[in-house]
Amino acid sequence: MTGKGYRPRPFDLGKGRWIAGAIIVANFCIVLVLPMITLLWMALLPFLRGFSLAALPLLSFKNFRTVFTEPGYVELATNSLLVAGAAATIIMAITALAGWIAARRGPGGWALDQLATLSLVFPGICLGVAVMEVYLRVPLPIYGTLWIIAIAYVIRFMPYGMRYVYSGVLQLHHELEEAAGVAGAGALMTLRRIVAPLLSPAIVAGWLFIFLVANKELAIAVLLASPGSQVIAVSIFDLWVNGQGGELAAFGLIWTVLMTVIACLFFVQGRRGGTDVFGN
Amino acid sequence: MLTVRALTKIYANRFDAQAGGVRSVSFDLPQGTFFTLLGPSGCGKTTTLRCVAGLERPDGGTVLVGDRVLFDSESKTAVPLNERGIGMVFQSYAIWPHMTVFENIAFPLRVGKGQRPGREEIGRLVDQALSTVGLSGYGDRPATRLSGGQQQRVALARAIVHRPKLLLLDEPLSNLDAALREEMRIELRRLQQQIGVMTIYVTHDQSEALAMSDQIAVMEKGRVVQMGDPREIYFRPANEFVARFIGAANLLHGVCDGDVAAGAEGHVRLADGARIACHFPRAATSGKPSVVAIRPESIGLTDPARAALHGTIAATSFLGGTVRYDVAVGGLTVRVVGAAERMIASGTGVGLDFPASAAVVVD
Ligand SMILES: Nc1ncnc2c1ncn2[C@@H]1O[C@H](COP(=O)(O)OP(=O)(O)O)[C@@H](O)[C@H]1O
Ligand SMILES: [Mg+2]
Repeated sequence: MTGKGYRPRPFDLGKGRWIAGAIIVANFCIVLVLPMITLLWMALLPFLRGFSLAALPLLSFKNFRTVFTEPGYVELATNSLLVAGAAATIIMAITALAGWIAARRGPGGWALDQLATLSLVFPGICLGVAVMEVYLRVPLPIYGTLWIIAIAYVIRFMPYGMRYVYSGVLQLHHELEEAAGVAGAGALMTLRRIVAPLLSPAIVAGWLFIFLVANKELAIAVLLASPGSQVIAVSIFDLWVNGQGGELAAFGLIWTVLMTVIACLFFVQGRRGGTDVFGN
Repeated sequence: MLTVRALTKIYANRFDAQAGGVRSVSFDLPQGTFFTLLGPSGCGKTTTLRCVAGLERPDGGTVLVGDRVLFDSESKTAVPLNERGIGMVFQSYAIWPHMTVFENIAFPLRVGKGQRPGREEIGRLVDQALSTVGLSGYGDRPATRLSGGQQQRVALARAIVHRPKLLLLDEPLSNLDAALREEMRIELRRLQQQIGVMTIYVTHDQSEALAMSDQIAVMEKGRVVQMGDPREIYFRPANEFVARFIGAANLLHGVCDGDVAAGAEGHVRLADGARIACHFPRAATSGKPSVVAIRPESIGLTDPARAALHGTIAATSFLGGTVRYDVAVGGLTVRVVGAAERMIASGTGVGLDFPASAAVVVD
C-alpha cells in the first residue's frame, strides 16, 4: 500500500473461465461438500452405518439435542473460544510491535524475528511436553488450567502472527511513516496513529487465522488439557475413541457452522470498514 | 538561511562495489530561495534531501537553518527528524489513506512538539492551507478518493500547514501526466513565492529546473558539479556533463589557440583545422585540450565563405515552429535549429555562424 491510489484489477479469463469455474466447483465438492454430507449422515443416525435407504427411518435429531442440552458441551465450547481468543489476542498484541520492528530492520529486529519464528520447527507434541515440564516445576499455579494451554498456543502460533504483521508492514510504503516523522510525530505516535490503523487489516486477519487454527489444535491440547479445562479438539478425539460417532458428528457440524459464522462476521465487518480481512 | 557544508553520506554497496550516496555537498541559500537539485537518476539528490530532513544520518558535514544547528558531525549534534520543523513532499506523496483530507493536513499541527494550536485554530489553518493549494471544500473527502493532482496538492498542503522554515520537494511532479505537470510547475512556483518559504526542489527534468528555480545545483555521481542561476547553468555550463545534461548542446573537441584570461574571448582550433572564436569562463594556456559547447539555436546558417566553420547539411526535419538540421562538419555532426519559414535542402553546403559568446569552453 502506498500513498497513491491502489485498486486491484480483475482480469479476463475468456473461454478459460468455464474451465476454471468447473475446477473450482469440483474442488469445492471434494474438499467440502462430500465430507459435510457424510458428517450430517453420521450425526442424524444413532450409530455408525453406511449410506442406505433402509437407514432412512432411523434418522433423528437426537444427537443434536444431546449436544445442546448436556452442560459439558456448552462449557467445552466456551473454554475453547476463550483459550483460542486469548491466545490470538496476546499473539497479535506482541507481534504487531515485534513484526513491525523486524520488518523495518529496527534494533534487534532480526533477533526478534528469529525468536518468534523458532517454535515453527518444534512438533506440537514436543512443545506441549516442554510447556508441561516447565509449569510443573515453576511455582505458578497454572498447571491444569486453561492458562497453560493458552501459553502453549501463544508460543506455537506466534510465527503466524509474525508473518501476518511482517508482510503487512512490507506492504506499507515506508514513506507513510517517514511523512509522519517529518510532520513532527515521534516513534510511538507514528506507531499509534499511522502504522497501527494501516496494519489493522493484517492484525485482524492474523487474529482470525490463529483463532481458527488454535480451535482445532490437538497435539498441545491433548497433553495440557485436564478434566477441568477441556477444549474442543481433545473432546472430539475422546468421542471418537469412545465410539460416540453420532454425537461427534453433530458436535463437529455445529462447531463448523459456528466457526464459519465467525469467519463470515469478520469478512462482512472488514468489507464494511473498507478493508479486506482476507489477505489484501 | 540554509547552510549545508561538506555533507557526506556514503552507502557501502556490497553488490556492485559502486558506493552510492553524496560526497561533500555544500550550498548556502538566502531566505525565500527556490533551490533545485538537478541531476540524472542515482546522482544523490534524494540522499541530500533526506540528510537535510533528518531521515538519513550523514557521515559528516553541517546543516544549519538560520543559526539553528540541525546536524553537525564535529560537535555530534543531530536534531531528531520530528523536531526539525521542516515540510516535505515525498515522491510517493505518502498521503495517509485511513484519514480524510482534513486529518491528513491537520496531522502536523496535532502532533508537533511544544504548544499545539486549539481546535478552532487547527480548522482555520487547515482551511487556509487547503485554499492555498486550491482545494477548498475538499476537507471531508477520504484521502483515497483523490486524483493524482489532488493528492499532490494535499501532500503540499500538509507540508506547509505548520509554516515550516524549509520546504523539501522530492520529484513532486514526476507522477503526473505531462499537461498537469506543466500546470503544477507554474502553480508550485507561484505558491512558493506567495508564502515565501525557502524550498529545495529535486528533479531530473532540466526544463522543470530551469523554469522554476532561483538557483540550481547540478549533481553528478554524488557531487555538485555546478551551481548557479538558470541562465548561468544554461548558457555557461561548467563542464561537458552539465552541457550535455542541460539540453542538446553541440560539443566540439579541439585545443586552445593562444593564452586566454578567465572570462575573455579566445580561439579554439578544432581537429579539422577550423579556428573558432569562443568564450573562456576560466583561463587557459595555448595547446590546452578544450571542449566547446554551442547550443543548436545559437547557430545561424549562412554562406560557407562567410563563416569559420562550414559543412554540408546531412539531414533535415521539420518540427513545426522550427527546422532541425544535422550538419556534417568534418567528421562530426552539428545540430542546428533554424527558422521554419525557409528550409535548406539536404546536401547544401552551409557556413555555421555564431557569436563568440554563444560558444562556451567547458573544459
Ligand atoms: N539505502 C540505500 N542503500 C544503499 N545505496 C543507496 C541507498 N539509497 C541510495 N543509495 C544509492 O545512492 C545513490 C544515490 O541515490 P539517490 O540519492 O536516491 O539518487 P537520486 O535521488 O538522485 O536518484 C544511488 O546510486 C543509490 O543506489
Ligand atoms: Mg530520487
